Amino acid sequence: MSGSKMARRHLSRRLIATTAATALMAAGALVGMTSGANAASVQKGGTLYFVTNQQQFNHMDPSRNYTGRDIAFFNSYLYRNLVSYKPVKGSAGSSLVPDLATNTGVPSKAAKVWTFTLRQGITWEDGSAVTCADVQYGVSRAFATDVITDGPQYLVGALNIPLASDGSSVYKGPYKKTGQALYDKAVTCKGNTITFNLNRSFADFNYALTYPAASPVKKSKDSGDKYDLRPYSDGPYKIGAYKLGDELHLVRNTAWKQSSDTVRTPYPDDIVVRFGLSPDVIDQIMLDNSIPNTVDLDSLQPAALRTFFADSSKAGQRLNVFDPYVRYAAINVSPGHLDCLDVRKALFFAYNTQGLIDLSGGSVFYGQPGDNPIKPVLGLDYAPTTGNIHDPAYNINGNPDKAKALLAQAKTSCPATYERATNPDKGLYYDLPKSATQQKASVIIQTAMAAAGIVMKFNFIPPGQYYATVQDVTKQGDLSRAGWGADWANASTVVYPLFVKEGGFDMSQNWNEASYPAYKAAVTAALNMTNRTQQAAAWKKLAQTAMDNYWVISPIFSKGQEVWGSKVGGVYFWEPQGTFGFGQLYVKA
Amino acid sequence: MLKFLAKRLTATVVVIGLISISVFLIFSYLPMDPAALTCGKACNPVVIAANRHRLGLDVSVPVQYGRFVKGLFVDRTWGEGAAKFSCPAPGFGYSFNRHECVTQLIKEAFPVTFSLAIGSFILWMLLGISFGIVAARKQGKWQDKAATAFVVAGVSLPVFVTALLTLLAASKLGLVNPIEFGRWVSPFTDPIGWLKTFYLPWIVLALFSSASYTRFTRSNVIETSSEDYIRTARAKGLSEKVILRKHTLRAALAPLLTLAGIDFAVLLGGAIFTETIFNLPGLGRLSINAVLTDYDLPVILATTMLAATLVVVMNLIVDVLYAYLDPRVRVG
Amino acid sequence: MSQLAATGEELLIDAPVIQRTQRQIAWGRFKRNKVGVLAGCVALFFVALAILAPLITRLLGVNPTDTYPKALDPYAMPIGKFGGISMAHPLGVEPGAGRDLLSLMLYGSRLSFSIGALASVVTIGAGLLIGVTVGYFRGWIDAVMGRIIDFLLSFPSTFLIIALSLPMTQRIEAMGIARDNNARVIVLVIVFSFFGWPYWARLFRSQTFSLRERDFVMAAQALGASSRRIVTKELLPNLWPTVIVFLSLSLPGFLGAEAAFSFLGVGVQAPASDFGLVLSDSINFWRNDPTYLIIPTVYLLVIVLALNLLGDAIRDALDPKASPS
Repeated sequence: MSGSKMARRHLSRRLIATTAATALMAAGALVGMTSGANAASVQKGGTLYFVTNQQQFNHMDPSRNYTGRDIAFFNSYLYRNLVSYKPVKGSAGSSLVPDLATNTGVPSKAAKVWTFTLRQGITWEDGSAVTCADVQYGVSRAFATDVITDGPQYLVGALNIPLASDGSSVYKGPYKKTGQALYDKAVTCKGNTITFNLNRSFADFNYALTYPAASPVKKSKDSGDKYDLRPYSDGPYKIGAYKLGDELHLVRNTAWKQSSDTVRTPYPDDIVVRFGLSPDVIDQIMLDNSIPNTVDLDSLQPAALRTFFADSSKAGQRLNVFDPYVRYAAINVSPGHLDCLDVRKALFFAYNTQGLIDLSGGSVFYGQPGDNPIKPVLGLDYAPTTGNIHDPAYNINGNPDKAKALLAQAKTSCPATYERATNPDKGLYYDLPKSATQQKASVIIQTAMAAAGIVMKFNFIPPGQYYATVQDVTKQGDLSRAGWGADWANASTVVYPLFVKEGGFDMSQNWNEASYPAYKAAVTAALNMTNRTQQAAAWKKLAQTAMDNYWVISPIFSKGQEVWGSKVGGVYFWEPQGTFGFGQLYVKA
Repeated sequence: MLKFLAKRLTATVVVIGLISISVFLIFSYLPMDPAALTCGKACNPVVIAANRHRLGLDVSVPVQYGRFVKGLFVDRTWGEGAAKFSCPAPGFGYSFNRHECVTQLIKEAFPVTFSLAIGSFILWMLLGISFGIVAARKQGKWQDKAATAFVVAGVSLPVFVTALLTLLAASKLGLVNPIEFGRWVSPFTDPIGWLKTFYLPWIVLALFSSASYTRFTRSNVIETSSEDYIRTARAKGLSEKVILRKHTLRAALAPLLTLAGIDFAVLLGGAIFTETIFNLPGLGRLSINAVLTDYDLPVILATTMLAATLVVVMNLIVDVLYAYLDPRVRVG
Repeated sequence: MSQLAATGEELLIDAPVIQRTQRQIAWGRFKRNKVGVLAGCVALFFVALAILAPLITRLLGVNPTDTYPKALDPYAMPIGKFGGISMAHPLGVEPGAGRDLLSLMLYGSRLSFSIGALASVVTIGAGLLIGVTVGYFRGWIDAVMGRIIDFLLSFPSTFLIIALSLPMTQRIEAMGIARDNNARVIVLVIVFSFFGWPYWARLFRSQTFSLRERDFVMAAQALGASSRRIVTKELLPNLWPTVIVFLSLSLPGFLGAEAAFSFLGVGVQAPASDFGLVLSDSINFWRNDPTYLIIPTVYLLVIVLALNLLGDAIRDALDPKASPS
C-alpha cells in the first residue's frame, strides 16, 4: 500500500532486510516442518503461484542476485551453478553437490587454486552448449562494478588480480575490458576444466561458488543492465513473460534435459509470480486458502500469523523455524558518535528487547535474544559469549537503574558523549528502515531509553535507500538497525563483513578504535587458516571481542515463518538458503 | 481567431519549456545523490564515481538538461561494450532501478491512468451535473437538501479515507478478487476484466469529485435562470424543459468546461492516492514509487513534467473551446 | 487541499460595505442556522480537546509517549473487546507498541490543527497580500503575477509535495534551523503554502477588481487619497469577511491533506503520531482489531465535516446571496 510498507520482507541473503517482518535455520527447533517430497505422491503439471508485496525480485541478473530467497528461487528454476546445495531438508541440505560440474571442486596449492570439470550435455534455452567460456564470462561480470551492482564480492576479492591504488580491482569487467589479460590469467579454461587462481588460501571457496554470481552467462545474450529483466536460462524453466510490478511467468525450458541435472525436479508446467499485492490481500488469500496452489513469498503479518498458526486444519501448510539471520543494532563508535564504552553499555542495559520481540510476533514467531553476532546454527563457530545478556544486571525488559549507573560513570569518563546522550536538544540518532513495524519499534525504544534518561531520536530511511545511506560514514547515525546471516557455514562470512572495514558491511566504524589494527590482523590470520578447528576457535574469540566492545548490541536470533496453500506439495525448508527448496515444489491435483 | 490560436500556442510552448527547466533545476539541486543511492552493497567512492558517470550525473546541470532535451528528439545511448543500449526518441531517460527506458514505463502506465481518469470523469460529470440541475429546479425541497448533504460530504471527506473504506468494505463483501486486484487488463482484450479492475476506483473518485460540480451546476443554473434572456424565453411561452435544454444549460455549463478540463488533466497526471490504495499501476503509482522507494530521478523528472504539461495543454484546449461555446464570449 | 482546488468562483463573496451593522446581521443569521451552530459547537469541542490535550491526558493518567505493555497480550494485540477499551484507556490501545489511543488522537489532532492553522494563515495571508496588490495596481504587475500564478497552478502539487518534503527536511536540518518533526512541520507548512497561495491570490484579485469599481473607492480616489490609504482603509476592511470565510474553508482542507500525506509517509514521523500515521498502521489490523481503524477514521471525519459545515454557515451568514449548497 504505502511506500512505508513496501517490501515487507526483503531478505537479503545474508544481508537482511531493511524491513520488519520475519523469515528461517534450525538450531533444532523446526516447529511446523512438513515432510519433503514423497516420490510416490508427487504430481506433474499444473500452475504454481507465488505472491509477494514486492514490486520485483531484488535482482534477476545472476551476477547481481544476493538475496537468500531470490538465490534459491532462480537457482531452482532458471540458472545453474558449478556446485549447489543438496536439495533436501535438514542439515544435510548444507552439503554441496555437483551441478554444472562433475565434482565439487579440487583444491590445490594450499587451497589457492581450485579446478572444476564441466558436465557434458548442458544447454542454454536455444539448445547451444554451456561452455567453460560461458562460466568464465559470467564470473568476470562481477568486476564491472559500474553496471553489475549489488552482487556478492567474494570472487572479486579472492581472485588473484592486483588492486589499484583506490582499492578497486584493476580489472574493470568485460564491458570496459581494462585489465582483461589479468583476469584471463586468474580464471582459465582448458577444455572442460575451469581453474580459479586465488590470492589467498580459501579452504571453502566452492561454497562461494553456490552464489549465482558464479553461474555462466552467454556473452551474446548479455545486455548489461537490461540483463536483469531477462536472464538467459540454462535451468528447467525460462521466462515466458515478465512485467515489473505485475507478473513473472516461467514456462518449461524445452532444451533442458532431466538427465543433465541431479539437483532439480521440475514438476509444475507453469510458475507464476504475482507482484505488488498488498500485505493485507496476501494474508487473506492465505487465510481463506482462496488460491490453494499458492506459495506466500513474504511472511504473514503478526495478527494473521497468529490466526494461521492456531488453525489445526492448516498444520500441513506452514513452518516456523530459526532463520540464518541475526538482527542487531550496529553502534557507530567513530569520534563524535558513540565513542564511549560506558554509554554503549548503558544503551544495551536500557534496551527493551522483550517489547521489540512482542511487537513482531512474540518469541514464538520472532526469535530470542542472542549473545553473539554468529548464530548457533553455525555449530563449530558458535560458543556462548560472556557478559552482555549473561550479565546478572541484564533484564530483557530493560534495566534503567543499571543504565543510569553506567551513565553516571560516563559523565566523568566521556562528558561530551554523556552530554549529547542526555540533552533533550541533542540526543542520539537511531537509523531505522521506514516500515510500519519499525515506526512502532521506535516508540518502544524511545520509551525504554527515556526511562534511563537517554534521549533517543530516529532517522527513518526508505527501505530501498537504507543500506546505501547508513553505510555512508557521513550520514550514519549513532545506531543502525541491521541484520546479517552467514553466507555459508563458516563464520568468516560473518566476522569479516561485519567487523572489518573492507568486509563491506561494517557499520560500527570500528576502524576508528585504537585496538582495530590488531583485530583486523587476527581476522586476516583466521581467514587464511586451513585447519578448521583452529579457525573456529579464532572466530569464537573474535566474536567475543566484538561483543565486549559493544560494536553491536542486542542481537536477536530470529525465526521465520513460511505458509502455502493446501494444494502445494513437496515443501521443505532448505536450510542453507533459508527458504523453500523451490525445485521440488509441486501442485497437487 | 488564428492570431489568437498562434499566440496561445506559443505561450504554451514557452510555459512547457519553463516547467521542464524548473523541474530539472529543483531536482538537480536537492541533497539526494542517486549515484550513492543506487550504489549497492559493495559501495565505495570508486563505485559511486562510476555510477555517477553511468547515470549521466558527472556533468554540469545545464549539460544534463541539454542531454535530456536532446534525448527527446534523438535516440540516446548508455553504457559501453556489450552493455550498450539505447532509448529511442522521444526519450525521457533510462531508469536504472527498473532497467527500462522511461518512455516505455510511461507508455505502460498511461493506459491505466487514462482508464481511471476517463471512467471516473464521465461518471462524475453525469452525477454532478444531474444532481446540480435537480437541486436547482427543486430549490429548497428535499432533493435540494439531499444534494447539499452530498456536496458537504463529498467536499469534506479526504479521498484516501473514502477510498480506503470502500476498498475494505468491498473486500469484506467479497467483491475483490485478491489475485487480480488492481491488475491492468486492456479493455480491448478483456472488457469485463477491465470493468472489474476499475469500477470501484471510478465510483470513489467520481463521488468525491462530483460534489463540487453539483454545487457549481446548481448555483450556475439558478443564476442563469434569472437572467433577462431566459425570462424573455419564458415570456415567449416556451416550456420549462425547452428553456432548460436550449438556453439555461448551455450558458450555465459552459463555465464548467474550464473546471472539467483542468480537473481531467490533473487526473491524467496520476491520481496518487486512488492508484496507491487500489493498487493500480498507473502514472501516480509509478511516480510515488520512484520517490518513496528508490528516488528514481529520471522517472520523477518525466512524470512531473508530463503532469504539468498535461495541465498546460488542457488549459489551451479549454480556452479555445470556450471561445466557441459560450455565447457571451463569442459575442465579445 | 485538493478538494478546495476544484472550484472557486462560487466562493466569491459580494462583500458588504457597512461593517458594524453587517456583523450584527451576520451573527443573527448564523444563529438561525441550526446545522451551522451545531457544527460550530462540535468544532469548538474538538479544538478545545486539542488545546487541552496535556491537561486531559494528565487527568486520565495516560501519556502519548508511554507504552502500556500490560494492556497487550503476548502477540502485542490489545487485551479485551473493541481494541481494549477500558476505564484506563477510553478509546483502547494501539496494537504493537501499546500506546493509549485517546492520547494519540488528542495529540494527533493538536498537531494537525497546528499545521492546518499555520498553513491556512500563511497561504491566505500571502494570497491576500499578492491578490490585493495586483488587483489594485493592475497593469504589468498583474500580467506578470497572473503568469506566475498560472505557472504554479499547473504543477502537480500533490506529487511535488511528496517528492520535495524529504530532501527539504534534510536541507533544513543541515542548515540547523530545526530538527526532526519540527523540521518536518516547517517543511509541510512551506510546501502547503507554496502550492496553495496562487489559488487564493487569484480569488482575492477578482474580489479587489470588483471592489475597485465600487462608488466608495472611486470616491476616495477622486478625493485624492493615496494608494496606501485606499488599500488599507477602503479595500482591506471590506475583504475581512472574505478572509474569514476562506480561512474557515481552507482549514479542514489542510487537516485532510496533512492526514493524507502522513498516510503516505510524508510528514511527521514516529515516535510521534498523527491521524495519517495511525490510519496507515490501522489498515494492517482491520480484520483483527477493527476498532483501531474505526476510531481514528471517525475522529478525523467528524472534525473535517464539522469545520466544513461551519465554514459554509459562516459564508452563508456573511453573504446571504451565496447559495446554501
